[in-house]
Amino acid sequence: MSRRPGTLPPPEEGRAPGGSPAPAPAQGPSREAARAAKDRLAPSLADDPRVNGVGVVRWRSAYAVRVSVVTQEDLPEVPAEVDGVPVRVAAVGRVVATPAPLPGTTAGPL
Amino acid sequence: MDRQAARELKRELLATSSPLRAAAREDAVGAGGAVVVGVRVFGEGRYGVAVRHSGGVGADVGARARDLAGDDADVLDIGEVRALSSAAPQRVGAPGEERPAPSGPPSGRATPQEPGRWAAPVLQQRERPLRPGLSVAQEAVTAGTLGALVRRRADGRTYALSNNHVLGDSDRAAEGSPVLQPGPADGGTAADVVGALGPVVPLQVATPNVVDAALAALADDVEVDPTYPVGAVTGTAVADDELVVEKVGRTTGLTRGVVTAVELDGVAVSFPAGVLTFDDQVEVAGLDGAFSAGGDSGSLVYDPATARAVGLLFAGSQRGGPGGTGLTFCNPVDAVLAALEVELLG
Repeated sequence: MSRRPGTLPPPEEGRAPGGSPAPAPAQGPSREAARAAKDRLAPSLADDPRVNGVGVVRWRSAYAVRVSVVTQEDLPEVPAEVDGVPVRVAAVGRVVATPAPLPGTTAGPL
Repeated sequence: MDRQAARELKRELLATSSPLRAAAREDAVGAGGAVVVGVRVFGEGRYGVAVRHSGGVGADVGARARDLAGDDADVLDIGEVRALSSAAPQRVGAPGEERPAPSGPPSGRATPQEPGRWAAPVLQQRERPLRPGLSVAQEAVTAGTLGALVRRRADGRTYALSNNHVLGDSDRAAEGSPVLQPGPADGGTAADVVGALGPVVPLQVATPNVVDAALAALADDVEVDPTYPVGAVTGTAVADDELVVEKVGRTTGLTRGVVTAVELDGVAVSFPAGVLTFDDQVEVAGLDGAFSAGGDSGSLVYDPATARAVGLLFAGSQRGGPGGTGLTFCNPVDAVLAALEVELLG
């Protein structure tokens, strides 16, 4: 099952970091199941420059696979779920390891 | 118990503790009773409550938590509470030398809104004793953050922990080259040398990395104070999504955030020498604006409810997170400590 680019829900819809989770079913995929689904999905996305990481997130009192993308404007096709584990997409931008900017300059990309 | 049940129990305990604390203030000077109640994340979907108290009525709240939650109540008597500024410095000293017992968390605990000595302008100054959050860097680097004071098992000596790209200039600095506090961007010069570059985890170009970490061997006469706004942080935990975390860093000072993803593989991170890939990373979003900015690299990220470390901050993005303030990325702390064969100093 695939979603078409542009038809994805908002990134991690329903999520309220640090706040109340969305109403949820009592049971769902475990962290181990999400990890296994991540390991199954990640190779297919490994060479896609639009993807910047595949991980695990909590989702509606259970766990899901997270696909991090560089921008919401150019989304890869990802399945809605893998082995029964939901797949969520979130835009994270480009990630930079940077010390402090040079004095007198503006902050770097971090 | 699940997260919702933990939250409800926390609310109940807080409702119980407020009248108790008020009564203690009115009736019995010195009755004790400082108490902090939070949600405890045990991992794998198990939640509970964390109670930290200093005896008196605080102990009553802890006992009630145990009655109601059993093993899901994490209750600790944190002992005497003391002022932020009274942390006794430790001297680096000789290997094996006995050190004072770890101190408890300070009273009037610092917050992002009232950071006190954990404010960024303070952390960018020359400060002795050395403590977490201070500006530090290799002489060829602008500035990063001293994440933790650690003891290396191989030689028993004290080291400063930060990123390779802060202390080791991303593998370009030679072992033994000087490390400054504050870093050069904050005015550090040869007069501010606190140690020398020690063991480094080399950054891998062809294969995924897990950590960006290095140590500075501190000079024997450098005093250290390893405490954080929550007191000593000596234990570690595996980060779970939605865990509330805290850090002190050179650029943004004391900030709080929430873990938004774990076990992230294939994260491409730009370094001065090119783009490197990282596996098993932890992602954090700020709760009150950005969790970090350039110069916070090397900060230790910990759970303020349990005072356990979960990550070593090393990278960030401009986008993502609440309000689009960017996301922060951390190495799993257990992998960092294992790679360098060190333990957090308490």
